[in-house]
Amino acid sequence: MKTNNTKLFSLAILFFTGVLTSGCSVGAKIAVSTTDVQYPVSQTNSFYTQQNQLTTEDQYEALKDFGFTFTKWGVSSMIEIKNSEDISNRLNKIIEKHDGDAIVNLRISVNNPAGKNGLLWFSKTLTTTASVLFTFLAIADPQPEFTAIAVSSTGLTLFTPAAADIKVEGTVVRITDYTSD
Amino acid sequence: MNNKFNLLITACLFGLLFTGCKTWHTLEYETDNQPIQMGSHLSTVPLDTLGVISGYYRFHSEDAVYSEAENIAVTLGGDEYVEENITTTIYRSLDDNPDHFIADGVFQVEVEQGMTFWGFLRTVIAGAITGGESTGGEFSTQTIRHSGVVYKITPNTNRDENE
Repeated sequence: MKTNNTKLFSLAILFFTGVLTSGCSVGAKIAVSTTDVQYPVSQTNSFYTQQNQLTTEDQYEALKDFGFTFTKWGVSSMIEIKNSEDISNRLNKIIEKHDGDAIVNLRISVNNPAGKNGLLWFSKTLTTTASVLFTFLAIADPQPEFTAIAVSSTGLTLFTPAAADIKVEGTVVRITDYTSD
Repeated sequence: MNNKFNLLITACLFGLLFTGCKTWHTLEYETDNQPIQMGSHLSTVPLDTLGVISGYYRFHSEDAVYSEAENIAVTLGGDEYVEENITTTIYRSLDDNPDHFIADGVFQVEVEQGMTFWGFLRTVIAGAITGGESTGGEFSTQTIRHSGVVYKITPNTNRDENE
């Protein structure tokens, strides 16, 4: 009778764990900003100068296409920890390096690094399973080892990070016509 | 022998961390003569601030849930779509108002990877029906959110400054 109860209990825990892990995911949220950019940076082919002069395609020359990528980590699941990246300095340096006046056609791209995040998702399913199992064990048989494993695995589950690859591309331009509208 | 095997497994795991196919999803605009600026508008003259505009681009893909036994084959689901509301919102705003432009843009990039509960259930059901093996239910979502402030150039201010 006791064996049957144990089996039933184990099956219930396994089912519960299966449901929990099947629904889990890893994620990252990253803010990309340019709070201190010293030049106009436009996502279209036109921009306003400091004098409110609308500058369009026929009023500038393209100097150089550029692009850079970076990877940022964040936590976004049951608990969310936002990360941020200010790309002002990079953009300022790119414009100054090419002696330009502005950036046009800025594009932001994102890629999911499936290898890294898949591995982290797999580790999260393991820590979730450990969290459920050892929480039950710690309640049924309060031993310090069970409690320690339950607490640490729950912490790892809640704070499993994920990565995001971000790419920034654009064109540095120099104004050639300051007079036309 | 055992050490070599462990080393190989460790190398594979580390390799997995730094590899993976690159599928970039891009947010870009194509408007004529109306700026959408990422940083500050940098204007030295006053502008009318009209409000905040925001939207997102999202790409979602979900692996097919597939199951096959000797005599029965079941294929369920699998999904891939792009959801977007930002370009129409911004184009409408700019097309209707040629004196508007957007600046102070900020992006929020989101990545999520995991397995859905429904994907898991479909896998289990397909497996139970066929008695075969089933895989799938995993999903990957990439989102780019963009928000910016809509400004209006006041004709008088513009003219005064040009003079």
